[in-house]
Amino acid sequence: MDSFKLALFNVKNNIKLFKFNIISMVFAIAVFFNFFSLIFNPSIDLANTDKQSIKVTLYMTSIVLVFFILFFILYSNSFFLKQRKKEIGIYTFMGVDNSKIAVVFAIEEILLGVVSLVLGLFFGMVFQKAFLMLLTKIAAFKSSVTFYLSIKSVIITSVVFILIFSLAAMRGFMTISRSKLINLLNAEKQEDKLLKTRYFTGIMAIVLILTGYFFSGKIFTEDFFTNSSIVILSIILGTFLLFSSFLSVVVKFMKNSKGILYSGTNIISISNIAYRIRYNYRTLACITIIVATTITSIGAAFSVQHMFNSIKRVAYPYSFSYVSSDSRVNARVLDTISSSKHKILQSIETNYLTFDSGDNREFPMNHPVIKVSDFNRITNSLKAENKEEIISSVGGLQDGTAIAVESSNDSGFQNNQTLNMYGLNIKVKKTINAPLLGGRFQFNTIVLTDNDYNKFKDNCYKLETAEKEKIFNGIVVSNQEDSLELSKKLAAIPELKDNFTSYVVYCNLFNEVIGVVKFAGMFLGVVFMLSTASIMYMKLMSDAIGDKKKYEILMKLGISESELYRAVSKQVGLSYTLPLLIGAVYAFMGIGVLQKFLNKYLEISLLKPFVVSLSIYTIIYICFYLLTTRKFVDMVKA
Amino acid sequence: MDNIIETYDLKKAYGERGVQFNALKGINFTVEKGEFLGVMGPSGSGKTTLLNLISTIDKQTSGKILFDGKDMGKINNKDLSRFRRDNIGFIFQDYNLLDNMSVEDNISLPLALNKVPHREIKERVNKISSFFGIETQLKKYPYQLSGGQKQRVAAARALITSPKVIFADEPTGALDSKSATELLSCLTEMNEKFNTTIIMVTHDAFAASFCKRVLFLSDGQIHGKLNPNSSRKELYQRILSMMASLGGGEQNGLF
Repeated sequence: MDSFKLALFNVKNNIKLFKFNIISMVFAIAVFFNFFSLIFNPSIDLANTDKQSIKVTLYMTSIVLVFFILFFILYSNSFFLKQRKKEIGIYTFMGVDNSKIAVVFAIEEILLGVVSLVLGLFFGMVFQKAFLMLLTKIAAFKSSVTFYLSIKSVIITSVVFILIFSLAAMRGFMTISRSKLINLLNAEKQEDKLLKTRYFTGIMAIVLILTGYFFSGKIFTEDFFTNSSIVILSIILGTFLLFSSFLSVVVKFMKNSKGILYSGTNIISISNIAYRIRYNYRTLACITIIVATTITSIGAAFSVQHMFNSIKRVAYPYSFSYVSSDSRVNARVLDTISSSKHKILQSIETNYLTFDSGDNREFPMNHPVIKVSDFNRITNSLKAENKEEIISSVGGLQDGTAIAVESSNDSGFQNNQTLNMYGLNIKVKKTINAPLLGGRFQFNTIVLTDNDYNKFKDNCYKLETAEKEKIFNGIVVSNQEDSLELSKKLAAIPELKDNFTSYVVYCNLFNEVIGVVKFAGMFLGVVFMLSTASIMYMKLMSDAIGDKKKYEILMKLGISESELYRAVSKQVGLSYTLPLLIGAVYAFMGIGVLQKFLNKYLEISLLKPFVVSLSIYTIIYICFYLLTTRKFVDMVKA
Repeated sequence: MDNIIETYDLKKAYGERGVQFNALKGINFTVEKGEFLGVMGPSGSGKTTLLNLISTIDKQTSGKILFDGKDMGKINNKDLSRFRRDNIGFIFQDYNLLDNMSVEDNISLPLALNKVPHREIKERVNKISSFFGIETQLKKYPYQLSGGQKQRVAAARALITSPKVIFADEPTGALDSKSATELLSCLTEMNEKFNTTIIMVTHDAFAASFCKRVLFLSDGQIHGKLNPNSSRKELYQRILSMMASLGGGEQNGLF
């Protein structure tokens, strides 16, 4: 038999173990292919230049996907090698030299890769239609995206995955050709020695995880890159140490307290868990980290939607807004609106001045400046939820002081910071969050007393470079969610060019971006989920193979089927419960940090997205659990 | 004396119809309480099949087995494993110890499954392990023991539930002669001291000579019995000649 035939034979023989692995890879490849097809899809290009952010999202997700798949393939690769060390040992024993065996295994790896790639591309193309349908459904894509078979995407997908598979094959080749016969033959014995309890490592693990948590608080306030690297590294390392030490301590404790051990089927499950912990803890740690990442990202994706919904009210209080003091323009706008199916609910006009704080020399930092009387008038008519609160926070504003109204892009003033407004000294008492002029102005609006406003106005008119007083117009129409048509007509008025803000346009754009984030996140989540499942499946199936003999003995000694099922349930259950539990704790901490950061800007609770994503994960996990338990029982009984 | 096991025309066939192989062709025998019975015969004579049937691991094709007066065919599958655990102890040729459990846990296993309080388990384990001379090995794992020690651990595990019958399937098969003698003495002592019924399958004449009575199986049928009325040495000689006659194809034996 030549190497290729042998490899083919091996793949066929081990298809049971490979099955899940192939499914996850095929799915990942199909998703990757479709992401890139979307990036190259001309119908997205033509629709809107603003779609750039959508492409960036897809692109970033693809990169995450590639890294994850790389990890996954290398992981399963080393898993299979470990599984089959004895097989390799027997070949070596029969006089086949290491490099020849390594070639067989490398060919196997490439065979698996090619099969997954071809299937992945095939299914990717077949299901592109469904993929696009999901995109329009989930991402609420208004623009139609047509089916597009992208040769570029096929090439990129193939190249990327062939590279990954070659890397895995090469690593397998190196590992095998360097291994020693005695280690190969004794592989199983080495693996199954009992884990020593290491209290010091346990303490280290806790310290590392706490360090990670401590630095996670700094991610958003201090240097993002350094802090997030510290967090990621210390959490990952801490988790591995935690599982290697803490778990062994717990299991040893259970093994030694005979009251727990000698109670029904516990003796079987605990012994089996303890037996394999030395090898399994790494898998459990990996899964914990994947679970934590997935839940946190789902929570984060949800929070974007949440955040947008609460920003929307403040950032886009008007259906349309523009700046014009020309009554003919106003008349045209009103005409256009009245000829549409929308009615004007509110129309607000206010004078404002512009103040360049000059903090940045590259470009002007133009703060709009308005009178407190105008501020009160606008707040009253906009009917904000916390209207009273907003007005009272401005109440009793005295000359020489000001209130700043926050804009989304401005880091804001410090409290009691004194501004020199073209010669007028104004102390900014505080910064508040309220709907006012909307997101068309990048920088904080300064609210002055009517008196100060007039003084500042004089200063502006004295200063040649300063902008003069302008009139801001904001209109709220009925049924604004549906006003895209009208918005387009208004934008066509020549005077409003570059001077027109539309709620519906921004909403659509945001919704699409958020939709794509959710969409990409969902697929990423499914890929993560599938691969966790397949890692779990591989692990448990190999456990089952190892435990077959033990359960045979137990059946002979007279354990009933229901006892067998109970023992297996507990044994398998631990592999699911621990990562989910610890992963959930991590995710809770992570989302807590995110919430703390967001709460500085807006009142939102991320508890709901956290609970929802955790519940979804748990439900799917329970399904996997029941499935693998069933399968495990079947395997040890067969 | 009461009979603990009675079989009536016990038959077992393997395979599909047409290519059937009859492993047992109608076996009738009884085992008294407190007996140490040996079952001998060449490979393929149906020894292990017989043992599997009367120990309820396998089901007969036809015939009847009475265990302590109860018809085993009438116990349903669900209760069978419980019945086995409570009434029968097993000693196997390849020990069948669980290598992920310490000696102590291995011996405790049947009691733990029965949810006996752990203090009582501990007491019984200590008592039985000193009987088998393995009290210093309790914390060790099977892979740290010699074959003889392992088999004594297995015997201790079989005995700990105080079963009505202990089935031993070639218990000395993998042992050297010294360990084998030690184990067989243990079994004899167990039989005499606790009045435990032991049924031992073996093809080793030396091992069989420790039994009080020996059945000879050949080709799925009982072909001879040796009853105890002599010293072990004499019995050994009689077994050898019996085997020689069986191997020689003569079917008349020494009744």
